[in-house]
Amino acid sequence: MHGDLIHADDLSLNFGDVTVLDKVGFVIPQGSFVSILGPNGAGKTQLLRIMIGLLNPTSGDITRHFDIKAVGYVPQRLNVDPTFPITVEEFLQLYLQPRGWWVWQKLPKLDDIFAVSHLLKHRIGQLSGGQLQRVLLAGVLSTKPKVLFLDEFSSGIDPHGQAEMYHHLHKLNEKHGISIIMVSHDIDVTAQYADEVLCLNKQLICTGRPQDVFNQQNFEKMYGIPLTKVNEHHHDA
Amino acid sequence: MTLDTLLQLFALPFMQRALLAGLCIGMAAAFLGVFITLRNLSFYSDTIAHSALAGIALGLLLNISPTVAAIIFCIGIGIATVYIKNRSVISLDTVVGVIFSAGLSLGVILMSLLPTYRSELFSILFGDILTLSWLDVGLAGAITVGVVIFLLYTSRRLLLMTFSQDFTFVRGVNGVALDYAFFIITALTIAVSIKIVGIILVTGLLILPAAVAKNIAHSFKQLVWLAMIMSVVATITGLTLSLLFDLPAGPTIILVSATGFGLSLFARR
Repeated sequence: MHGDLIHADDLSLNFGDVTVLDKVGFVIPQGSFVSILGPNGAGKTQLLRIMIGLLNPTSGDITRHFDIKAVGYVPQRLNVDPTFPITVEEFLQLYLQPRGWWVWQKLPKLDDIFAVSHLLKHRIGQLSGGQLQRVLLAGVLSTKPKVLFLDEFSSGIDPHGQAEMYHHLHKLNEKHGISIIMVSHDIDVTAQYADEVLCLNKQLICTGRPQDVFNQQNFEKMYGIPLTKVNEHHHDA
Repeated sequence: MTLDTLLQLFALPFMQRALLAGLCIGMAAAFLGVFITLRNLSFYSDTIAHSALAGIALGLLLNISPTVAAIIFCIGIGIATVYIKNRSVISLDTVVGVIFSAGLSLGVILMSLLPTYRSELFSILFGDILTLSWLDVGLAGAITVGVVIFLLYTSRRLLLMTFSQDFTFVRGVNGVALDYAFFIITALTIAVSIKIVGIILVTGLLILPAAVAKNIAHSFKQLVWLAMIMSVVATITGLTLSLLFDLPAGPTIILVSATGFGLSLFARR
């Protein structure tokens, strides 16, 4: 660990009368694999957007020790018009090199861990939700980010694909020191890969290593129901 | 009318000016229209066109060139649209709807203040490509060069922005500046195009070639090329038909594009 990546103090976010985040404070060290956990409507996505700089908090301070150009971001979902005539290859070209003139450079060879090479000539609107998430992650990783923000990125991907992705992300974090901050509903994945958890339900319920904070008391505070029920809901979903 | 007579008509200076200006503005509008269509900004282009009426009326009232007044007014509307969009929680569609109503109402009121009936009103509404001067052709050429250079330089960023404003941010692109530039260039192109097809039909010049191309294209590159080709075909065919059957030129060009759109539905991917 080499210092702080993000330092947040008393972050609050309100949309009119609605409180989305209430005095949330935390420190994320460089090189961490952080999972933001919480029920629907806990403010996870908005907190992630504030961390990236896409959204300003209503009050509070946040200090980011990273260059925005070193950030990779995969949103929860991308609403693509299915009739949008652009191929996966064109999309990846412009994502990799958004600046510059019309000339479309040849796409560098992709690390095909996410099995997207055979999709390059497909129109992006023809992809399934899972395929689109694979393409986005492949594109984002091709920019060699130092910090990855992932918002429930694995939704729509089959379990085998998810396992491969998490394994790859874990390797990137361990071997290359890439900081990963992800929003997740998956308690098992969080317990297996994250070295830090932010438990959120508008307020910060707990923060620390999964093995230290995953207990009955914190889960009841976060979800309003006991841990066993949370697991049942999670496995039913 | 024989082919020889038709060729002789196309050799006349007013027809050459019409063809040159029509091809220039048509191609610029088609390229721009690709992004307008992809970003669902058709209503914005209609708003700029209708607001131009206020600019033209202001020009006539103040005794300055109506085209220059329309250009300045339309650019002002473009800037106001982005400014309000960025500082308001209401949707762009609603912002544009408000500006549309206000701009058009102002235009009608200013027109009513003109002391006498102005015969140019009909050509403002429906365009008059056959009465263009060489100065108009020069202006159309300059705008075309400007628009094409702007789009060649920014197309990748504009396209990424079409997918997601968040992506432009994390890829280090200044989305706000890009948005202002795009809305201003669109306003400028519309203001200049009004002389060719008029306020009512200018949106067709922007949207129709891109809409035809969108039905057929598989990739973005195909989309741009097909939109430009459709615009060239519509301009040449529309002008020819207007000569053959003594029809108003602007609406004929638009109807040719609309026919192309109808046919493209059958070729839809």
